[in-house]
Amino acid sequence: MVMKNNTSIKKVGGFLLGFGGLMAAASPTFAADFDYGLDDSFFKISYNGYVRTTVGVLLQDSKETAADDKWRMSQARATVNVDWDIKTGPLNWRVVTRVEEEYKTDYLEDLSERMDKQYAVLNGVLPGLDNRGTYGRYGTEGSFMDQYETTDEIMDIVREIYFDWQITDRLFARIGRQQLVWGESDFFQAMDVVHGYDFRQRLFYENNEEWRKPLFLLNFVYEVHEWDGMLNFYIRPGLDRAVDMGSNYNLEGGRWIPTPYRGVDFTQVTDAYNEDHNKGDWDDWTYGIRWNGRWGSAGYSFSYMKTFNPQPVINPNLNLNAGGTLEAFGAYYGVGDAEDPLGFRSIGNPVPGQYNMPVDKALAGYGDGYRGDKLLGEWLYPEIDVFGFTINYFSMAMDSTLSAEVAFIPNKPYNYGQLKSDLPGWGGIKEKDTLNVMLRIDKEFKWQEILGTHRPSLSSIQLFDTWIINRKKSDEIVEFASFGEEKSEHTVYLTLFTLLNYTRDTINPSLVVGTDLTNGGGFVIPAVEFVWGNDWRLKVEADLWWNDGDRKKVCGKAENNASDPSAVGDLGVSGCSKAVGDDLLGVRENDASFMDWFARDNQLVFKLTRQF
Amino acid sequence: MYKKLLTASVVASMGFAPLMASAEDETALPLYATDREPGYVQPTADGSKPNPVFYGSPAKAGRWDNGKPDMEAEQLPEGVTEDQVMKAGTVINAANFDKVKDMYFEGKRVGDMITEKIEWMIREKNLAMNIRHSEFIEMDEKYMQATQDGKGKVKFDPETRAVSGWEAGMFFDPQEISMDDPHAGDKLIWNLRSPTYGATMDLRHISWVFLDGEDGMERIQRWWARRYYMEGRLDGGPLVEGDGDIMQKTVLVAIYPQDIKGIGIFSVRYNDPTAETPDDVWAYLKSVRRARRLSGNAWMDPIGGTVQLYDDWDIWDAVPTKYKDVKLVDRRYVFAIAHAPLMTVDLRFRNTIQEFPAVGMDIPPHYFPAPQVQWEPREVWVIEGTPPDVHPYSKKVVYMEVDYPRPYLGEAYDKNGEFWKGFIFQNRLDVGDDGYKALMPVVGHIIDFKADFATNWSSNMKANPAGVEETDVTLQTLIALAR
Repeated sequence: MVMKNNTSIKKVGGFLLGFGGLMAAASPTFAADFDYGLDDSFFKISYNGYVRTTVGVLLQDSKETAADDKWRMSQARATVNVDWDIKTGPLNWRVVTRVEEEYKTDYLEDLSERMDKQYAVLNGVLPGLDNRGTYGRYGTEGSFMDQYETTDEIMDIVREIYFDWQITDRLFARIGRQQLVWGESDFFQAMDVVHGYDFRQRLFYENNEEWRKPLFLLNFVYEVHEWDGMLNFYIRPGLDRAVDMGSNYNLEGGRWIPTPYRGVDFTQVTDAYNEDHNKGDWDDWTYGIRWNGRWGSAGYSFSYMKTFNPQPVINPNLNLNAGGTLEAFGAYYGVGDAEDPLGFRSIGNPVPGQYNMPVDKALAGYGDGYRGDKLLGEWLYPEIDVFGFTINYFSMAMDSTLSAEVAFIPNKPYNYGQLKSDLPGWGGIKEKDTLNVMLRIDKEFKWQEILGTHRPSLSSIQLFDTWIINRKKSDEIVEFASFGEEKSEHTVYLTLFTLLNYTRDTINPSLVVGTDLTNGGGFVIPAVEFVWGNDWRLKVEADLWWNDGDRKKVCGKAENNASDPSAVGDLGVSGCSKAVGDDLLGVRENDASFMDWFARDNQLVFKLTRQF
Repeated sequence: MYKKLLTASVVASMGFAPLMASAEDETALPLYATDREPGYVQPTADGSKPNPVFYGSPAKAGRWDNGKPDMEAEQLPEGVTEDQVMKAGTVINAANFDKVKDMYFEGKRVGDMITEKIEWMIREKNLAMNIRHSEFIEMDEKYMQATQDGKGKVKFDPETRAVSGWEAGMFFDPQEISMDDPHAGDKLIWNLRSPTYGATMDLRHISWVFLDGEDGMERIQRWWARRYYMEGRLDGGPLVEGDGDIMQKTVLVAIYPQDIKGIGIFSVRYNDPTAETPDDVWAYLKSVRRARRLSGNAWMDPIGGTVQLYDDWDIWDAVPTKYKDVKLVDRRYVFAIAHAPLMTVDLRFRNTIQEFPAVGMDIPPHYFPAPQVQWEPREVWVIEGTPPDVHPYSKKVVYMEVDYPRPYLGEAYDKNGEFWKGFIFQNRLDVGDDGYKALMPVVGHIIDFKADFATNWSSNMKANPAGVEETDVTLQTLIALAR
């Protein structure tokens, strides 16, 4: 992958070596280690890890391609992960290294061909040429496979590198590139927003550990034993690479962009991502503080965090005309306090008497690079404030563990507007106070007699509500740009999972179910993991979706996809009426909600792991 | 390095200082207690007779007088001749069992010191017992004295079977417990609440080995573990730390294999005489990088994928009020392992059966004590418990040293009343870094005979490790370690 801002390795490496060396010389105490203080050697190194192959097989035909995709491989991936534990005097280092390689399956080949044609049409060149060097022109430039081969430079291979330092009996520091998680929620992010996630590999099916994007943090914990708790505070000093910002939603048009956009590379027409915007500047320091304690038998936490919105939002660009005036595609976001009397931040408003922002002020919002004359928009991760509270408690009366989490995000950014277009939600960005509320109950069911399991089955039911406070119909807020269903005031998801363990945890079936109580649809993930000895693990998983038929459809006939490479003007999907939709952007609709986006995405996944 | 420290702290403190004189070559050192000369008898701390206040007179639990047998114990019954005496070093097995069962050892008939289930294991499951002479084992004087000091303060409520007023040492002086006492079982199991491990316990290098009766070693799980008792502390500091609400805190972190490495538990057990207050348990899950609250009512559930229940820690973990009924059914002698090897996890040989020298993994059925581990006569209480209906067992039996709460053997029965699991625990004395003499299990054989499968744990236990404070066993400790 070509870095857009490839400076962090020197910053991080230099900082770690310098600071670490200083602390090694100065530290009075030892950090906790696995040797019970028996090993007094200055230097010690050990490692462990795994080699894994992951194969995904489609269970349904994907309408974006001409072929029948059922039983085709959507993923064939090899991973080598090595975790290093290194002790240097008082410092305990942790280095997580990973190398991954993906095979370009026939299915991915078809998706990339569709992209090639997209490029040819957009740029007026003959299709059929090898345009792959232009893939993701304004995003992760390079070839189609670069979105999956994410470990081709040193800071990808070195996923985490940090050291632990017990500064005093009470003060603990973890310095370096790491993962930090706050909050209680499963599956959803309320307080777990220090980091972004890379959803391009397998959407949200992976362990969070695998897809979370580590960041360079100065992370401190101060224990206050008298109050039965600890104060955790961290600073992200802005040393991270640009590509480490926010979550990746596969805007490159790979296998996990929602239907019907597989094979449609949004980064050819948008800036993915603008990390220098004045509303979300990756160089800014972000930080958080949390009190995590126990009150009697209840665990609780209060926290505040300054971070970046984990989901990107599209900021439609302004078009700078030859005459020096700006033409608004939508309402541009992020130019200071520019807000008109109607509550819109707008430039080039054609209505006389309404707010018209000066051009120079509007352009200032772009930060380093204005590309409005080339691109439809830019994807941003605006900075947000998050105020959180969590509590957990084991109820003997219910024989269950109860957990709750509340996260208040004032002025959370959403896309809105232009719902009756090919690009719904591209009207701009609107800020709304938002409250995320999670309620969960965990219970261990003693199903040994009924199901023959080895031990009680951990089961969990969770409700997760996203409440957009004072949401009005006229707000026209959408879940994600390009999907036209308006987001309700409350969006409530219900998830449940249960884990069964057979023959002393060597055969472990599990079931995860989630449904959108507001809009319908859901997913079910039956899986089974096999454990052989110390070294071998096999997991077989089915990722299945259901929906109410509102999915956004491919415009035209899928059979025509890529059928005639020489057909200039045909983006691979012919027969689409412009009144119905767009060849690339699909049939216009305003009913497809989150679960509908993944209609026809059912698949099987096999993971074989050899540990060492 | 760890081995050197182990050897230094334990061997030297047990009167083996001369062995340390040429300790340059670690591999040349005798690692195991069983390397002692046959017939060796551990002296008491100062070589004097065991304190009759603590152990009665004469002391029963093992010989004490520098190799000379306790005369009463060694006296042969009338009509028994010297050629009917079984020699120390005899290995009792299926082939010779019928011959030796009627022989005598330390004045007692051999067959009478073998429980019905152990006999079945010998005859049917290839258990072999290497027999040695018993030795008197002196528990720390502070522990025994605290028991005496607590008399009159500790109250047992026959209605609720709960106790109050305990501070340290045993809840009840076992010398004053008689077979006629209808609450004797409850009282002896209450004594288990006051562990013999010391105030702080490192479960160093603790590993569970999954052993199939036919195929042997299936897999290993290695953990880091430390427990800190908040009450009944006899390490020279205050008896109670905190406000007295908490009994103990434990941190347990998996370090092998890779898929469980970084998973850990922090638990708090409360000081509740009724045992109604559930534990507080948090699990740190590496996959989500945060601590998640777990059920505090898992006391009768298996520990992970092992065949051991949380209630099987030290054979019997629950306080008596968790059980419907606990009764004392016998006082007798059994062969038990009270002088286990000093090292039971040898990390020089990771992932091989040599890593666990106290378990005979190379001998089918792979899950019994290794041949060099020796059994000796111990006088024990036999206590039988009836768990609640939702418990997996219908009955549990424990064989526990008469002088202090140290379980040696156990049995668990299924809901049909059939023998299900056998527990053989290897114990030994460990001298803490502060000189505290702690008795602790170092190997637990937990054998599911219905499945012909065992999950044995082994640990180089350490009592009262130097420098460990309450603040070293916290949720933050777990989070810092679990990575």
